[in-house]
Amino acid sequence: MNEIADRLAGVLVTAEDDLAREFEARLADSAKLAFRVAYSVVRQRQDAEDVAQEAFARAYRRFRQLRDRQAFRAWLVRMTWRLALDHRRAAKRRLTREDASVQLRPDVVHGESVAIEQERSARLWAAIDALPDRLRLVIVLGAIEGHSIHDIAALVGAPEGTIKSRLFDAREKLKELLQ
Amino acid sequence: MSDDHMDDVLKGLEAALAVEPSPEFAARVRARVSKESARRRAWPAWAAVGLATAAVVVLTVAAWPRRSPIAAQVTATRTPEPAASSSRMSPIAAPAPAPDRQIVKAATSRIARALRQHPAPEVLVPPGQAEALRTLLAGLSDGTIDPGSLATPPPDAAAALAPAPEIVIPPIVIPSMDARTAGTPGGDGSTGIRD
Repeated sequence: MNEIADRLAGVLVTAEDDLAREFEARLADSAKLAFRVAYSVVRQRQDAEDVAQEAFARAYRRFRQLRDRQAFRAWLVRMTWRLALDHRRAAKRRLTREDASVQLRPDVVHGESVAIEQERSARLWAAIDALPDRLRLVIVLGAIEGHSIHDIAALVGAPEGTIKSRLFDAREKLKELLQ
Repeated sequence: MSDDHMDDVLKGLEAALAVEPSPEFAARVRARVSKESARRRAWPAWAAVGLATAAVVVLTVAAWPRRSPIAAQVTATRTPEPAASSSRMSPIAAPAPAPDRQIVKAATSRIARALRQHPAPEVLVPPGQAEALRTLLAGLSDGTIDPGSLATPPPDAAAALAPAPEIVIPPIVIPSMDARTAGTPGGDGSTGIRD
C-alpha cells in the first residue's frame, strides 16, 4: 500500500518538476513583456514588478492549461493588464483617502533637460490614459518590443483587422489629445 | 498634428516603455513561483497519505468480524421485560423471538442448581404484614384458627354491604329534526351550500 502511495507521489512530483522547468523557460521568455505591460499602466517600477510577479504566480497556478507558448503570452499580457488596472485603481483610491498631493506619475527622468522631458512625458501619458482601454492596450503593445499587428492580434485575442482599426483610432485620438 | 509628429510621439512612447526590470525581478518571481510549487508538491504527498489511510480504514471495516445472530439474541434475553408489561402488550406487537435452545437449557440448569442449594424458596412479605402472617401461621399450626373459616367473609363485613339503590334512567327524548324550526342556515330546505 505504502509502496503504491510512494510511487504515485513520485510520479506526481516528477510531473511537477517538468512543469516547473517548462515554466522557467516561459518566465525567461516573457518576464520583460509582463513587466512593461504593467509599467505602461502603473508607471512605477516597483509597482510594475509587483504586478508582473503576481501575474506570473497566477500563471503558474494555471500553467497546465497554458503550456502553448503563444497562449501563455496572450494570457499573461491580459492578466497583467487587468492586475495593473486594478492596482492603479487601488492606488488612486488610497491617494484620495489619504488626501495626498502626490499624483501618479512616471519615474523621474534624470538628465540635462529634466523639466522639458518631464513635461513631454506627462503630456504623453495623460493622453495615453485618456484613451479607452481597448485602444490603450493595442497602442501600448505596439510600442513594446516592436510587436507587429499579427503579434498584437495574437496577444489580445482579436482578428488582425480589428487591431488595425483600433490602432488607427488610437492614433487619431492621440493626435487630438496632444494638439 | 502631422503624421511625422505622431510617429515621433509613438517613438517617444516606445522609448518610455523600453524600461528594464530590476535585476532582482526574475529572482523574486522565481522565489514566488517556487513557493507555489512547494505548495503544489505538498499536495500529492498529502493526497497519497490520505488515500492510503482511507484504504486502510475501508479494509479494516470490511474485515471486521460481524456479530453473530446468537450473540444478538443473548443481548436481547439479558433485558427481560416484566410479566405484567408483556400482558399489556399491544396485540399488533411482534412476538419476541424464540430463545435459543442452548440458552434455555443453560437458564434451566442454573435455576435447578439454585433450587438444590435452597430447597425452601424464600418468600418475600411486606414488613407491615409480616407480624400478621406470623400470627396466622402460628394459629394454623396449633389449631386455634380453622382454615375453613378463612374462605367465608366475616358476618359484620357481609352486613356492612348495603344494597345498592335502584338506578332510575329517564327516557331519552330525541328532539324533532324539522329543519324549519331549527333556524339553521339551511332552514329554507336548502343545504346551505351554494352550487
